[in-house]
Amino acid sequence: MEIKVALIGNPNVGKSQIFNNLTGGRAHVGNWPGKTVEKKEGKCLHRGIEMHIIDLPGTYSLTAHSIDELIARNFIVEEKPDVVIDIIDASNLERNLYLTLQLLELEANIVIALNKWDIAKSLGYEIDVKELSKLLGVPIIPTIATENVGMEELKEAVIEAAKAKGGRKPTISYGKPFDEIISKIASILQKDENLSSKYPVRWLAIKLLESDEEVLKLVERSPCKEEVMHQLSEVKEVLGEDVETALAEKRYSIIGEAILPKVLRGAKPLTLTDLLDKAFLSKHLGIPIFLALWWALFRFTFDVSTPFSDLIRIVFSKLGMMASMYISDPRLASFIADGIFGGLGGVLVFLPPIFFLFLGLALLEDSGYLARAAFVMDRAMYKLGLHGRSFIPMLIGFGCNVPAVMATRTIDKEEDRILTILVNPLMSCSARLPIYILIGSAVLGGYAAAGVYSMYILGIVLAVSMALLFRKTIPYFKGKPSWLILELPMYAIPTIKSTLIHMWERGRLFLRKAGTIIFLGIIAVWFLSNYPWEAVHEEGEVILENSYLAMLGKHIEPFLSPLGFNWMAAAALFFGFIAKEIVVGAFATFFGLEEEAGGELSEALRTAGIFTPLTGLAFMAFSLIYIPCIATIGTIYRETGSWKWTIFTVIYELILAYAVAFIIVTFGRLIGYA
Amino acid sequence: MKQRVESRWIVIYAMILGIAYVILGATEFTLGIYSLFSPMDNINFVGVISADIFGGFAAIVIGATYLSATSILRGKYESWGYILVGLFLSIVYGAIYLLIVCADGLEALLAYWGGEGEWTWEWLTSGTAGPGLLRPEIWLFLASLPLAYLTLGALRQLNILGKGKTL
Repeated sequence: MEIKVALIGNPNVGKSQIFNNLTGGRAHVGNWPGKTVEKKEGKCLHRGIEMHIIDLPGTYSLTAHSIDELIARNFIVEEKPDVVIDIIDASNLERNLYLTLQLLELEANIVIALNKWDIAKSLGYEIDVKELSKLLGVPIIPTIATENVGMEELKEAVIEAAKAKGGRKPTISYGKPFDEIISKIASILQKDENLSSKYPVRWLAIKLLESDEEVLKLVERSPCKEEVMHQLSEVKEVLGEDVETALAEKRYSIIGEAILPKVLRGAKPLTLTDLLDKAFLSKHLGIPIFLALWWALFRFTFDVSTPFSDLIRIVFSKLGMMASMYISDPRLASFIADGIFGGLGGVLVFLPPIFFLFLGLALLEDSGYLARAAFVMDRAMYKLGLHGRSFIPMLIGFGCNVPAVMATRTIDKEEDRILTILVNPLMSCSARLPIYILIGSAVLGGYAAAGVYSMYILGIVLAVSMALLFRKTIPYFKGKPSWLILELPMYAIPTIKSTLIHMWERGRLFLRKAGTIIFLGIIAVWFLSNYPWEAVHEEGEVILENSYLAMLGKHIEPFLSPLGFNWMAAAALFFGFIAKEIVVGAFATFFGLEEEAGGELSEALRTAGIFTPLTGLAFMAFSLIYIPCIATIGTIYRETGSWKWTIFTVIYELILAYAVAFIIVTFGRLIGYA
Repeated sequence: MKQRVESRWIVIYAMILGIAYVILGATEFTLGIYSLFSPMDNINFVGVISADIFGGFAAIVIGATYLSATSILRGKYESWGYILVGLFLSIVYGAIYLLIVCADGLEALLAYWGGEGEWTWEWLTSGTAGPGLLRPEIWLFLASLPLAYLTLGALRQLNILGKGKTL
């Protein structure tokens, strides 16, 4: 005899541990068909009966809002496992029972593993397991997965449940008006044999009331579609528009009023986590504390890492000097010194801030704080059309857009994640600051600092505006961001090992992917600025105006001349496509100055009259908005897995940059500026 | 009774630190705003308080967190959380500014080794963190350490930092 068993539960309830305990850790790992979500399967032999165990994705509910929920739900509805083991965190019954009620609605054959039994006890809870089992009509086994306690009893219960084939389960009552309507719709659906033989009709009726898109699609093909739709349209008038929220509230009130008072005794003592949450989740101080911590992370990332970046720059600059000194062939010497060592050095100087950032983030995440940060920011972000978890990538974007785009992985829903990626490059990264400072101090005089500051504000305003615009106009993003449902773990002191592992896992991606892209880009720039060789290197002098890059700048110039940019500005912006830092370096090259000679370079720019205050401001805005650097583009492609979104980002930012710069110049001229 | 008296002194200590942080933060923030709309000069106040909008904001937040702990005196035990988080932020900022001073020192050393000038100790009192080791947040962090000791002791007495009795 073989029985099919599905494991389901909220995230962090110990599901993987129970899976390992049951299967002896031997799992076949694959993906769910057509999805990138991991699927784990294993076998367990007990009393000569083989159990085929499938680990479903961790989920808080069974709506159609996220891919994980859909996979879990579809598996139970379509594959019809003999038994579903619902793993519940005994120390957090209220939240976990929500999923149990939904499983009961699905008419799944449930066995409950009441896990973390020891933690619940240590917190002072006394749970009446018999009474809970009676109320829910399912067997319940207390377990401590970390100590392998209760596993034999769980296997026994699973086999007994499989033999009993479910039996009669209690029906969840939502109160008179809801129950009447649910019964009406269910009786209509019952007439469709195709549907009623496959799905529990009461569950279908509830999902229809919740406007569940997947179930609506099922009914679209049903002969009783018209009747159901007519009933639903009448229902909206009786129950209101947001039936889904009303039903969720009903479920929580059933748990809170009808179940918990009968089964739960003892009060939870005040813990350190409660104390810290009092301040971290405070209505008034929660967001300011988060911003203060973010600023600390920002300073740690960019100020503390500086000498390490300097060290890398010095090493590669010395290597470059040695190459120039010892290689007699000027082309090879230039290629190795400026191309390879210059390029590698240019890439590796980003390494310390990236690793410092990920070290700080790993500390915040492992301590349990990052989940709280998303929680306190969710309300504000939701109003702006973004997901609560979007805030952290947006803030990281002020440092560098590459790790910021990578940090969007914490956003569950694909649409929300891609939307955050699309607007992230508008957050002004630190590489753009030297451009603002150079141009600002060259042409804005006493208003230089205000000009720099205005670029940061402009970036935030544009990111929010674009998110709202995309949400309203692009069908893929239409609708509201998904609700933020997350586990608030207990605070913990991060271990050095796990923090370093987290830092390395994220940081090495930058090394492997973005590093190669930037490096190749810099080699390309070297080629463009040094060839045709004879024309550029005439009698020991470098005449950049003869280079392919200058030719390119002159070709781009006509497009940018309405904004008041000449060929030098155009070529510098082209350099900026590789990496924004190179814009300043490009101007330095044009004037034959060292990049570090900031004051002299500002003076040279002012004297040459390349920019007026108006066109200078427009150039700063253009630099902020136009095409993200090549490393960011590479990361966007890798994170979205789509050329379509990558190209879209490049094109919309180019158009937006042009439009904003044009508006600045036109408006400025209208009010009398040159 | 003894516990109540100790708690009161701890709260008063936290309030004094809170007020100091708020005054410091407000000054840094105001100077930061002022410098934003004036030419890029290195503005500072009595040599140690620098123009720093975000640093000032952070100091105000630390101060406000400490000041929110006053409700402990009204018997709200959860408000110990404000002192704990205030201490945490004090330590984070104290450590960050100390690390920045160390980073400045390392940079100075690299410049010296690279032959970019004479070795000086200027980085100790002037650099990325403003007045270096004189940065008031570093001193306020040190002043917070006795509060950390007293608070942890009080919480142990109240049996909060263990698995224990209900408050």
